[in-house]
Amino acid sequence: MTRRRDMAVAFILLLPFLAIYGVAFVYPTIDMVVLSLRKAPLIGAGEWAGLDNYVRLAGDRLFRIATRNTLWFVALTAPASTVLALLLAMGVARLRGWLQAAVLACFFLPFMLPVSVVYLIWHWILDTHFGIAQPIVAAVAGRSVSIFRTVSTFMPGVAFVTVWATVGFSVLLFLAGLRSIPQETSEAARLDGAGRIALFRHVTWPLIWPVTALVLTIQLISHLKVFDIVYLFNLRGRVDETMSLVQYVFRLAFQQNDGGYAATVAVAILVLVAVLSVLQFQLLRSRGQ
Amino acid sequence: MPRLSSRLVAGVAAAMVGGWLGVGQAAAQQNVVWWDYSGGGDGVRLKALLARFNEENAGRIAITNTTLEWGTPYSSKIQTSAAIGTASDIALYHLARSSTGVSTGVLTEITDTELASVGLSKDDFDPAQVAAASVDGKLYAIPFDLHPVVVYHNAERLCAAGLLGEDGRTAGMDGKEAFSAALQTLVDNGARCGVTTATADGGTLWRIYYSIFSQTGGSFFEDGKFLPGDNFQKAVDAAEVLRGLIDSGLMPAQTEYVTSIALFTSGAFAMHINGLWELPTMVDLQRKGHLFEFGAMLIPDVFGNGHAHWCDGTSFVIPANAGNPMTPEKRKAVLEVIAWFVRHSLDWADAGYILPCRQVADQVQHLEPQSFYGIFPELVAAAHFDPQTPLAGPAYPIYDAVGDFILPAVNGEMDTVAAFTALRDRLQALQDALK
Amino acid sequence: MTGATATQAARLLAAAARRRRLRVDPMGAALTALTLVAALAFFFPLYWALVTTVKPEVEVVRPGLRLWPETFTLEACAFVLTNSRILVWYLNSVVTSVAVTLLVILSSLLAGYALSQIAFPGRRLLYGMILASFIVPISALIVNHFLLVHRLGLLDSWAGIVLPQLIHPVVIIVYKQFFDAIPKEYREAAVVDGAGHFQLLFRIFLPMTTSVTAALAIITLISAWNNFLWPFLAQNSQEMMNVTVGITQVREAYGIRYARETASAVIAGLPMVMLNLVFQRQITRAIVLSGGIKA
Repeated sequence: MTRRRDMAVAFILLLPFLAIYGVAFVYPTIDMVVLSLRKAPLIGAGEWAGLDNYVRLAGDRLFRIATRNTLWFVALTAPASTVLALLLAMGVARLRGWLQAAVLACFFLPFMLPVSVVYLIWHWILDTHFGIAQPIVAAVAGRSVSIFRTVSTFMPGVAFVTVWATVGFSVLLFLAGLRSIPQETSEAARLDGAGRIALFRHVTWPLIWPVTALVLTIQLISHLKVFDIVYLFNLRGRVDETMSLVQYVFRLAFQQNDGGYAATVAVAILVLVAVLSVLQFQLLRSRGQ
Repeated sequence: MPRLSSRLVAGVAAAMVGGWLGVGQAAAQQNVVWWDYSGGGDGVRLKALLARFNEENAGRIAITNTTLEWGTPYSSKIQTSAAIGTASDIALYHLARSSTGVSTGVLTEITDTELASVGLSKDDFDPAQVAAASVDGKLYAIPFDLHPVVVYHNAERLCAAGLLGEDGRTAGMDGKEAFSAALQTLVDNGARCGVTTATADGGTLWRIYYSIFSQTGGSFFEDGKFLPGDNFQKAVDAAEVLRGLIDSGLMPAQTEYVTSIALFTSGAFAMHINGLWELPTMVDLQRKGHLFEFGAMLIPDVFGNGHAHWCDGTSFVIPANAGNPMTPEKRKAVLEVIAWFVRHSLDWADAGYILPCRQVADQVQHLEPQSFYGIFPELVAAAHFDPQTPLAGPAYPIYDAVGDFILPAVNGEMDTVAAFTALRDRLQALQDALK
Repeated sequence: MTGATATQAARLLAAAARRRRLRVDPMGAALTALTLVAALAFFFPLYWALVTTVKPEVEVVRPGLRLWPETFTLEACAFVLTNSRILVWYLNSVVTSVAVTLLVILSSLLAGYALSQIAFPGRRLLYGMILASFIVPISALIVNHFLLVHRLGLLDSWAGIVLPQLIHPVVIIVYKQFFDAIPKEYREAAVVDGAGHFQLLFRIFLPMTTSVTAALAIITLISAWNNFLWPFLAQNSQEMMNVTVGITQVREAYGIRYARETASAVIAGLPMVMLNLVFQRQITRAIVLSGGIKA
């Protein structure tokens, strides 16, 4: 009796969630796989195509470029951002009071900004002719560079802006991790005469490793899905050479009206993200133990 | 009720309710649904005109306007709505896209009799405009303005370099060598660069590039083929002209749209290629005392085949609503609206667009600054519209391909022939996929 | 060792360490210096955007470095406010992100409670599926989200913007873990009193969740407000755009507009900055919670 009532209650409580997930998650996911097997415009009937789209995917130069760009973006952002966040968090942890709050706010505020705001700010700062950062660029490169219109500097530029905008999130996670290290442990080690490097290696690092794994995983997954920052910076420029995977889906579906093939590329992204995140999770877990 | 429903549907519903109420009251008032794509300063001027119309015609004709979208395929939205009979009664439309609109059955023909019924005729417009608005001799759009690409120049710098004649017109710039030499003279006389344009902006670069390409006399798209025959070589030649200017340091590479204007208005650069729509920017700066004496001229005739430049225009169309034909009374009202706007296009032209009607153009001879209107007939005569394919237009595949291929070719990052081969193949594949 | 002496010992140790740190710690000092310099470098772009906003356009492009405006003007801000639909976009952003937040919090709270407190068949399976859904990137679903919303006739509407943004599995998991951690005694006592699940949830558990709910709500609100991709696809007309989309899609047709562009960025970014300054503690907590770190 109670069990049946329990079940009824559980069902009622789960209903809104199940409805949302069914409509906005399960259905579109299945629909995507089905659409990937069709030759169809974005909106409209189309026809069954079997695995044709997947065959096309295998020989698609633009898909290869978009994959390469996406992986390059992840390689430029995830490790650098993680190391920087750990360093900054250790620095912030040494500060106290209002200074700590102010410094933390400097790192975290960019994370709070919408991506389009980030884009407008950096587009202005790095403007080829009037950007305030161009003298620095010129000092390094020997001349002003149109960062976002030069294929070789595009991804590093976007990665730099992305690290600026997102590192604050990881700093917070590291800071929480550092605070969870029992004071006694580090102080005891310190009194034992352990040097700073030894202290970090033997005390801080083993305890902070799980957080590092977490930070890296979050970065990896979110950066594999990159769209908006790349889209905004290559708008009206060399999109072919600089686009990310999600941008390729966008372009196929919404600009070239190739719905079926767009869904195929989307399925590929899903598989890529799923495989990489499971792999990385396993890897980090085994090394962490 | 929270406004959860689509704005579009709401607009249509409002019109339907309005129409129903109209029937209930008196048959006199016609409710006209209007769609446009004008934002920013254009939008403000257009709204002012709409308000004036509604005031002057209160009780007879009432326009309900909706500003639909920006950038992304506006004409495809009209197409989908017309197919299910829910498009507006009047729509603003890019002149260059009207033939595509006709081929997809979206637009209705506007006959000479209908024009005459509201006091207009084809002769009120320039032949170039009428040609762009017609398919097989039938008129499908009524022009509202034209906006071509021109060259703005710093009159002081041109004078100093001896390139400006007594009559205020430029001299000695036609021909590839002469143009380069003129720019070099300007640099020798202290300009940082001869000319600026938005070399890093695919959309604008297309307009500049297509201007030069039109001067070769070539055809970008013909009988379903992109760059057939010797048109390919002409396309390459046109790109080489721009690339040559960049290579020789006469035009800055990889320059964003806004930057290209700011460089010119800073005074350090002698000339600037852009649309006539930037005229208000220049006039405004001058009014505030931040700008030198400047003028506007046609893009020099580089290949010796005569002047030519990219041009588009705003026009009015009457969508063909499937299964929902317009009553003769409504159609009469719609034509009256269009005629009223054409006659008031001077207020719209304040944005710097060229005027649509000869009869209106005559009125402006006395207006400042005269020099711009002085070149009006030549600008219209040399107008070249986008290639007539569904792939052309803002946010359409041709513009994407410009960013991918013409932009790197012009800026010296890609071999020109390789770039145009890739561009032709991409566009041809997309064109073939349309069938 | 009693608790009091342990605390005392720790304090002594900490004090000793602090003295040591003050004496000789070149690496620590270098780290602090690096952090302070980095903080300034991180802040500078925001400062520069603000300064550009209050300069006249002609001053913005004048050669030379001016870290402070020669002429202070709010012209650019006024222009953006009067010439774009930024206030309408604000309204759209507020309505849609608040709706996303309310719906996500409510549905996740209920589901989290059921998953934690009620033994029903398939519970483990359902929880496993929620965990697994993490690996499906929502941005890969854009095409089919578009089709879904199109089929429902909700393109260009608030509902169409809200619907696909309701997928936030992490909120459910945080709630479930929170309820898991509530001692069984509470529940048993309530059951003895004859309270049903609804009373238990709303009378006893809900008040306990206030701070967690606040944290989760704020971070959901931030992510909905800052979302770009989906609102960008789902909104076509200027009237329905969110502020994040509007400021990049609609630009004044002509002119030199550096100050205007940074002004629109500043105006669009301001609410989130304010929110951060007011709710920094809750935001930090939410990030730590959703990261799964026990602080």
